[in-house]
Amino acid sequence: MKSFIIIPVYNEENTIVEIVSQIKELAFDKKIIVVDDASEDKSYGKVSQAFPDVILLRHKINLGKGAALKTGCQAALQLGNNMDNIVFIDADGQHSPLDIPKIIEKLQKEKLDIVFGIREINRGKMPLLKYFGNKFLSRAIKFFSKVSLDDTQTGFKAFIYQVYPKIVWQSQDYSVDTEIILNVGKHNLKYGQVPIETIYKDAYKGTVPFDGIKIFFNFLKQKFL
Amino acid sequence: MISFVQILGIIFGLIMLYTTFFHYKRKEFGKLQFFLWGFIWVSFLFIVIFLQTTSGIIQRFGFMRPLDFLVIVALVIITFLTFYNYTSLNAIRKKLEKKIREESLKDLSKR
Repeated sequence: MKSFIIIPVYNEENTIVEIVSQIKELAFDKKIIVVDDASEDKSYGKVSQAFPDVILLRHKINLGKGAALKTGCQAALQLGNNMDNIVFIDADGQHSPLDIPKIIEKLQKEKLDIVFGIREINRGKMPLLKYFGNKFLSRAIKFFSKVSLDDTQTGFKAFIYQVYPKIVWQSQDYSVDTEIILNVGKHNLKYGQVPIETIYKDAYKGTVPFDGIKIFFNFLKQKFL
Repeated sequence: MISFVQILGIIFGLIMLYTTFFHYKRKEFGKLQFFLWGFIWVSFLFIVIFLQTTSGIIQRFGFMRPLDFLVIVALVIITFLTFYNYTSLNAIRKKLEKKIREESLKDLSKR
């Protein structure tokens, strides 16, 4: 099975090289697309220097995670001869690339359209605000979309190539994860979830409480407007 | 006798009139925009100064005071402008995203 691994990057100079190295070592057919969303640090330079064979794209202006993922998918569509699936993984080191084969295996074996990597949501591991925010969003999303996932804000997911036109999103920011779930419900796609290892390195990176509020309102907008 | 609220309204109207003129002089407003906004602010000043001129409308629509009428009209305009700004911003955001994406994908075909 051939996969595109898409990694959106914004100011991740400390983790991105490690993430890409780990992915490259995985033994399956893949193409890695790194989308640098106008990082202000050395993320772009480090990737281009360390991995000349990786497809590296750069936004001139910071647009947000959703827009970066969409750019990655557009690139995959342009290059995508004989590709079977697309995998999204965050660049901040929160996810372990070693879980990628697990998520692809589930997609393949159970013939699903999309599989979500589910972080362990417990108060011991997750920062408190993230824990409550995630719980609230998960319940609201489950109620409105009829898609039942233990973690709705995970950025780690894999889907079959053909399903992209159905899940494609308008969100430019972190709301992308919620919008994808809404689209999964809307098109009755077959979905699954697998538990993944999660490492919380920086409580101030990724989604912050204000993003959570924005995600919730964007979710209502996507659902009802 | 001009009331305190009317004085506030006159100061506000004059500032907005000056701001409109300022944008026109900096060529950020075209002639049409300048006259349209100028007309809005001059009308606003006229109504604030000569509140009694609106008495016909006020009685017809059942407002208690001329200033209530002015507040309602202002709210309608603000709601329209907020909606207009929202849609314009969305359109600009989408155009910007498209352009930046096209730019970033330009070299892809060479790979």
